[in-house]
Amino acid sequence: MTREQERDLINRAQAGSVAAYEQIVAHYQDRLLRFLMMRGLQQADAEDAAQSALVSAWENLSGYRSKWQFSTWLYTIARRCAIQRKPLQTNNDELDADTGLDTCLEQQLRDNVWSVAHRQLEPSAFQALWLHYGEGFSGAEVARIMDRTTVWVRVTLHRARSRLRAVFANDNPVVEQHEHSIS
Amino acid sequence: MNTVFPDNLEQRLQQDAERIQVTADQHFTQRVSNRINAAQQQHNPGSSRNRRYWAWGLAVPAALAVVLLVTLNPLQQSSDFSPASAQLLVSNLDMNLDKALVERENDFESELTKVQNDLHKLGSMMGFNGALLVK
Repeated sequence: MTREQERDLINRAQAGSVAAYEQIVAHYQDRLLRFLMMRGLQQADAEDAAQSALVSAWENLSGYRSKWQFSTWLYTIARRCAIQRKPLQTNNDELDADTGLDTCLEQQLRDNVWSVAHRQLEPSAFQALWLHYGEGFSGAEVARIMDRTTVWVRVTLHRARSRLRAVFANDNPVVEQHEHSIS
Repeated sequence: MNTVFPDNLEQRLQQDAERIQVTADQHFTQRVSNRINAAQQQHNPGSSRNRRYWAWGLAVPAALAVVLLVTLNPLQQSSDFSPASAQLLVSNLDMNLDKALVERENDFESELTKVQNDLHKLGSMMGFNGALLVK
């Protein structure tokens, strides 16, 4: 769906067209679901939260302003719905074998760099990293969704990347030595 | 896992994110539509206006009924003091008063008679004409 198509659907939905809004729902449902499950909700809870977010967005559609991307606005609502169901908790220092993620997601995260990120990073840092690299939001958009400042987002992403680089460097000592010899 | 070089971390994050796929239930969109329609029914101006009319239609008569009950109850109690009943009460009082006066008078007469008799006896004892004492 192009930006123009989306804008047209939003205008029609704001005029009261449920059919137009259904197309928006179909476009975002999988992405929203994935975001909420990566945030730690089980699939059933994530589906319920996604539905609540989309219904809430419909009810408040008159308040949406096109200066922001619709996805940013929608994800902000979805995050608040997720918080109501499961607030983010601080990870323990020890590695926890139980990721807390839905089992179907855990299976997909095998041999996936995001499984390492989920284990190594604080939940808020992981969420910022996912929104930026997984969902494609800019730093400013991540800040708006997470109700943080852009400075916080930039610092958090930097620290998250540094942390992961350190983890992978420790896991791949041969690779690191080879790179040093090249440089 | 394939080796992750520190300098390709960002690229790896994006690529691995694309591998994570989640599909919503086939009825997801329909459920959202159902909830939207249900929400619209609740906020329907026509239905809310009808509810307001019903509310006023029930509330006003109920309020009037309460007011009438409150005001009529004292009136009903005050029926005991209607003019007819008041007159009856007064009549009863008159009768009772007369009765009490008659009884008092009878008592007085009997007491007076006793005193007269006693004086008569006393006079006789003292050699006087008791009848003169009584007079």
